[in-house]
Amino acid sequence: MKALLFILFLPAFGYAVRPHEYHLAFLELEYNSTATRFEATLKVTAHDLAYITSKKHQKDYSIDQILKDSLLRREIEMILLTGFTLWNGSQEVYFTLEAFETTHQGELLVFLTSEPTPTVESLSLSFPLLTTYFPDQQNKVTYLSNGKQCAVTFLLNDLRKEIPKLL
Amino acid sequence: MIKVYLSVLGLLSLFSLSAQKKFAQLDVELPTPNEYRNAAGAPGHAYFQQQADYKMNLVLDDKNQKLSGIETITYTNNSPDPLPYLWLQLDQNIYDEHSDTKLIEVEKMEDFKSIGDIHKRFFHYDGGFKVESITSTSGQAMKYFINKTMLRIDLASPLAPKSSISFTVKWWYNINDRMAVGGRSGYEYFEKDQNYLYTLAQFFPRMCVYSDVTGWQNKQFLGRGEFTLPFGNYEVSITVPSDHIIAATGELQNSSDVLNAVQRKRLEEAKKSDIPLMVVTQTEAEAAEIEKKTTTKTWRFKASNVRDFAFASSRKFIWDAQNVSVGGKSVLCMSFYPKEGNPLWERYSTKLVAHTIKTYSKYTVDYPYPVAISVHSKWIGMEYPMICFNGGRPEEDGTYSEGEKYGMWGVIIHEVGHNFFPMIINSDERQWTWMDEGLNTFVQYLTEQEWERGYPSRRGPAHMIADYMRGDQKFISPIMTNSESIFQFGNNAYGKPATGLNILRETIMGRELFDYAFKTYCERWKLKHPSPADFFRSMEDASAVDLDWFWRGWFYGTDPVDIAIKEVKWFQLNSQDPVQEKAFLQEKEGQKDIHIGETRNAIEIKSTVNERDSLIDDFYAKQNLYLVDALDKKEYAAFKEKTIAKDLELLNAGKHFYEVHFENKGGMVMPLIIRFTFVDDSTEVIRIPVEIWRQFEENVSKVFIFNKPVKEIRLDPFLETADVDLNNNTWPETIQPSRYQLYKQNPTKENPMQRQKRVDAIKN
Repeated sequence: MKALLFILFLPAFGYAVRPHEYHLAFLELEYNSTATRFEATLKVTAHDLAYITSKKHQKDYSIDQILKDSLLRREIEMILLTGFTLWNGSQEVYFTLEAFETTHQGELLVFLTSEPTPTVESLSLSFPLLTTYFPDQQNKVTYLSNGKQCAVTFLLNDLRKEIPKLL
Repeated sequence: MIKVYLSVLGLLSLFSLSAQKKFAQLDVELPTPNEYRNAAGAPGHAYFQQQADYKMNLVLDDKNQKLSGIETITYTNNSPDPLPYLWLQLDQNIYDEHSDTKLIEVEKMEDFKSIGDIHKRFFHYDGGFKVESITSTSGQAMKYFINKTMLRIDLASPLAPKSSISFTVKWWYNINDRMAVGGRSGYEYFEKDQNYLYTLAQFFPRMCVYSDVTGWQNKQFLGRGEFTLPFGNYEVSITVPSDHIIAATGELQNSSDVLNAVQRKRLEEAKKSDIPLMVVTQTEAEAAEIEKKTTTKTWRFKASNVRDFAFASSRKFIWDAQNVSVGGKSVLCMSFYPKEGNPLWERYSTKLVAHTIKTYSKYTVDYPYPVAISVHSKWIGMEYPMICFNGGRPEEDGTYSEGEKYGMWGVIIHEVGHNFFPMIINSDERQWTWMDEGLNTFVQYLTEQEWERGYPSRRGPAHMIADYMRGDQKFISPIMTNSESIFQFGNNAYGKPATGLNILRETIMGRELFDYAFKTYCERWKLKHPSPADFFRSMEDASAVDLDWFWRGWFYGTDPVDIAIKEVKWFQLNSQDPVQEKAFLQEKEGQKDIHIGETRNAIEIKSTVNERDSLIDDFYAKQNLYLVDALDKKEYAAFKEKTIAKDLELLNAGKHFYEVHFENKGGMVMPLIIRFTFVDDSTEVIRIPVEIWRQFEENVSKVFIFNKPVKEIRLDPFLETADVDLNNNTWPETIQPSRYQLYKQNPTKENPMQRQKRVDAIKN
């Protein structure tokens, strides 16, 4: 079957093999029953984000430069916010980015809260963050609830996955 | 708390026997010891390794970014086997149009979202070796066959044991633009001053290793699994534009031909200096950038007993150097960098090289080579004998963030550290990435901590690997996985082995035993080819610590560490002394919760019938359960009569017994490190060896006896074991705050985004 492919006229993302890559992101997710919101921390390798931005704009940027530049920061925010989707039952949960924090270990911590979500039903997540840039990207979510936790791993071709209920 | 009689302490264990797999010896997994590699993990009495000596004449074409060479290889067969053919590596061929590296990339249509993605798919540059000829010493053409990144020379007659053969290979290739194509070597073009900086490696056909472990190690180079190379001696002449400065493996042989008198004098002074001194200044480098000479000069280098040769060349190079003394020998530590690396590079690079050489020598073996070089090249960290190429570039205005600084420090320590793993302790990188990256990352951590107290090392401390160890185990490869097949290369081959060695050093073996065993392994295998079994066996052989369970779990397995405090029971001995025991019962009764009605009735009901009528209360109403009567005293006297003083003393000592149940939820067994905090806030830490799990791998219990009550029990309080769930590590249960909660607890800490928003608000 022949399908039509609609193409955007954007410059190439020239991903090249780098010997010492990282390509790992972690999402720590918890439901705050008092605030009736989900709270999340996304931990991403700062080098990976800086590399993507540098390649896209054909200019070197460090993560600190990116965070200082409102345009570049918005691009990064978009990548991060569209990098994962949480469903509460069949409802998509929307997150707001509260703050960034860079660490000396080369990580970017991103603090997020969801819109008000009165009840928690069955949770599912898709987590394709950076997989279109780095085929070996691996993402993990750790869901915390009442002192218990579970972790789910996402690879390049993984779509939506259930988050096990923590009893 | 429960008071118990001694007799009930002898309860039978309810635990079921488990398979006891975790402590099985690695008899099946490890190769059988033999005369080449013995059971102690040392080279055997018949150990051999091949030798490959190179004489090369190289020409760097700066106009066309092309490198050509004529190399004469003398290969010595020290093995007991006749060799009918020889294998050479053609690593540049991963840039060949038909390279497997491109073909094995997993793709799907979603990858082609933009016209740029399609252009990228069709991008091609004429890379790969152009081998023009291979001839014998008599000039005869030799028969050869190229299989992608490997080249086989078919010998006219087998190369006999203890004999050598020499032959000459003539080749050239187009150097890759590292910024566009990527790769471990190549060139960087500086548009502003229109100059090139070359970092060149894997640039010549190199002999494969022939060993007792793999035969010929001729596994194709696909991009990840790095290099496996024999030791040899190198004599290399490199012709470059006359204003280029070259940094290379080995010692410069003709400084009078390539350096001016002032530079030579500075170099000699630097050899005696314990702080970095300039050999080529920034002013001189900037002048060369503008002038761009068209004449050439030839630099000559010699290197002995190295496994490879690499060099960097540019007219942009600033050069500084200092001496460091190791094992009574001088090592010249040097840095070569363009002005774009400053101010970071002139301030730190050479000092970091010197510190790394000294610190690694302490933990491994004395650095045996005469020079150690750090070259600045953007975005990369890559290692070769005596020389490495490192990123860490400040912003154009010369400022840099703290993260950038630590990134630069870390990469220089790491890449200089690679001199020890795998350049000196020469493991098979093509097969086992962890043997060099993991061991190197471990010593990198030790070196970073000696550079700055509290250095924010990226890898090393056990708790930092916990995120990676969680989740679906099928997406976590065992460390003992071939380099090309690893999920999550960085954490698997760098982070997890380095963390494992840290756990061995800090928790399982202790620093003294670990350091001795680790150094023993390094000494045994310096300038040789170790295998994983040699490492595992040496660490046990030199320490008398059975570590098979650890290698099995941490290196061959993927189970995380998650040990939980499942249950705690508190007991005290019944002393049989009625005065003591009845007082205890009375106290317990007094501690019971009282129903609210009873409390209110005590006030509102002024008097009850039996309080007003003395005839109501009978024997039962009047008896005092807690009164010590004559019978109690008589019985206790009789008990004391038949009990020895030592037992009585123990019964009356007021000891507190805590039966603690531990559950191994993650699978990986670990020692139990338990901190008890008592009611008076004093603490005691008890360390229980891992062998407590040897029969019961999933559940164990232990009784702890103290003189005072415990108010908190905490497992792994010093974050030593990479436990992935700390929420189940405390009694009474304590929920650890999430990262988000920690962030919220520190709301005054302004992060860069918030600050920038305030800056933006002022602008607007």
